[in-house]
Amino acid sequence: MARVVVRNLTKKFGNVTAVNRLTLDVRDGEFVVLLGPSGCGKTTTLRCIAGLEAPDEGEIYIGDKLVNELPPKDRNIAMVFQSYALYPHMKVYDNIAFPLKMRKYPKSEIDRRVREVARLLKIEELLDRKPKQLSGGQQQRVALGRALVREPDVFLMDEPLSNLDAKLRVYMRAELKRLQRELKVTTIYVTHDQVEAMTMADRIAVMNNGVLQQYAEASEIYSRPSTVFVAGFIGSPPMNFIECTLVEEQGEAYLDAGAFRYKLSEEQAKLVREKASSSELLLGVRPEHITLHLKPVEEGIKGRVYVVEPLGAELIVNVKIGESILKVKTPVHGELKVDQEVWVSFNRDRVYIFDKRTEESII
Amino acid sequence: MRRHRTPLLFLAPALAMLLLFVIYPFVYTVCGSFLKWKGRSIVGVAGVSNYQRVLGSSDILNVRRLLKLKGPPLGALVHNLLWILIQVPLSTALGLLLAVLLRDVKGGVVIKSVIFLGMVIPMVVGGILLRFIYDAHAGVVNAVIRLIGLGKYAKTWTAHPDTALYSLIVGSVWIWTGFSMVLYSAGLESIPKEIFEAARIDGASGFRIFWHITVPMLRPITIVVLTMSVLWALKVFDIVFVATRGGPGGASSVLALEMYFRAFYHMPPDYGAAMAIVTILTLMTLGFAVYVFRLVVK
Repeated sequence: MARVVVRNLTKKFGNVTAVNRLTLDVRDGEFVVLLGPSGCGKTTTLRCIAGLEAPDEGEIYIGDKLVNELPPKDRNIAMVFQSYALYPHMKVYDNIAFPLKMRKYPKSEIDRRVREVARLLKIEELLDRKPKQLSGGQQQRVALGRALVREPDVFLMDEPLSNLDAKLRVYMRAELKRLQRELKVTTIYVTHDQVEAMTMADRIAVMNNGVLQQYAEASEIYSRPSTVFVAGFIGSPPMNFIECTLVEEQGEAYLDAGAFRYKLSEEQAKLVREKASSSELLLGVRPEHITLHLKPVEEGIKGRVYVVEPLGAELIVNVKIGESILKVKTPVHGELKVDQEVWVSFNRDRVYIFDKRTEESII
Repeated sequence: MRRHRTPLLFLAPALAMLLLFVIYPFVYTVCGSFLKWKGRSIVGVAGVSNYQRVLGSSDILNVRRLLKLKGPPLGALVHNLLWILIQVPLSTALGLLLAVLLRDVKGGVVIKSVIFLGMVIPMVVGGILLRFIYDAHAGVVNAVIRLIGLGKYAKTWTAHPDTALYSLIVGSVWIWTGFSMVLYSAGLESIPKEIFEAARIDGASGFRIFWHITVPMLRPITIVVLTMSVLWALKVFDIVFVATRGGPGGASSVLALEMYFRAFYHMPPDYGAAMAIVTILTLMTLGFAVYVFRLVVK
């Protein structure tokens, strides 16, 4: 078990900067998820840590050791690939035993460890089969077994669940999390699935275009997103963004969105004046922090129902206000008809304001 | 009954060709090998005497030299077996090695194309090339030998009984390495990159990745390469015919060449012996092919 420190990591492929000055500190035994859309540099980061790619700049430490120049086999890491990368010509037993054989462990020790891992992963009865004869979920377990058997310092996982069907994925998510808690092995896990990230991680590192956007616990990523990208990437359906300008009238500050005005509290106004680089702002509200009313209310904004998406217990109502459409998540509300007049109000504590130019969070 | 008629109709032309050009000549040859011939006419039943004559001939099986562990000529049958024993492992291993080494090399494709040229040229041209290469005065081989100061060993390698066969075999290694290299290159492409990466992380060195991952995963390719080159080595004719005509003194002769001489060269022709040789060759290739087929199917 070890701490992993990445400092100023940069990796370029030709003209493309895959990872740009990334700094990340993973505590001993921590479960960290690298989250971002495809092409954001998360897998490249993982491959640099594994030693499969050589960084152009920056340092990578595993434990206290600088590993930049070490080949993968000397880093004491284990990796689970998206495709599992099982050796098709070997039986499950030999697949799991392979890392130990390569390290010349005595036969009895190999046997003991393989059987122990097989028991832990409940694949004892599969040891004599070839990978081809296993289901996706079973192959996944074998890949995990091959990683576990060596008792590595760090687990690296590259979208290990994305080849499983939805139901199995949810099940394996919980299994993986339990396993990691039990073994307390430092784990770095790459995914583009925000639900996976939110449910499994101790901390999430959100990446975009090779740049680390925010590195924090799941609850903080959700409630205090540091950039427009993070705010829009986490949450389903994503946060509503409304372009607006700051207007001051008779000592009061408003966000003018054209179709409506949103009055800022004194505290909010102060922060905006201090931090905003211009009067061009983005107002952000999550669908679950908007209340839908069928009658006019104080501070309510009038709109029309554009479309209704039922989710069973909840509805997502698309409300058209001026030219923009707001998504509102609300409990089932009787009959809602298209084009019906409705009013929406924002939960004041859960309103975010971003600088439109820098895309950084102000409130 | 009617349902079967249409497919049969479509198969008929191909079946007719097969019957006319493969099955009929083969059956004719096998039967002919048990008959007594005089020129082109059958004069009686020979029983196994054609086979006795063929296998007893020192051109086919030189038992005396074999028992004394002497060099060629050892008889065409033994030469064919030597050909298999030397050329097949060498060209297969070399092809695999080159495919692995040239996989990630810049310009590897160009080098591979040059090596594959051996396979592209007609075998007859290959035979003529070999004659040039081994020539005492104009040949590249002797030029190199002189260059490294071993000039006293320079000679026309294909003209001496103890080196003629081996020279041709080495030449055919060059020709067949391209074949196995191209097949192995394609096979390597089909192995997912992650498997090699996983092996690197699992602690395998370059050689152990090669031995534990690459070689076993290329097994289907190996079977194809081995089969094709063994069958070719059994049937080899053109290279020998053009380069040495089996000489000197039968030192580089092979079964197909002996068959050719007996059927079309000797006066009068010895059809019985020729047909016996063909039958022996066919049985050997067929036996081997069936063995490999069962190996693959299993």
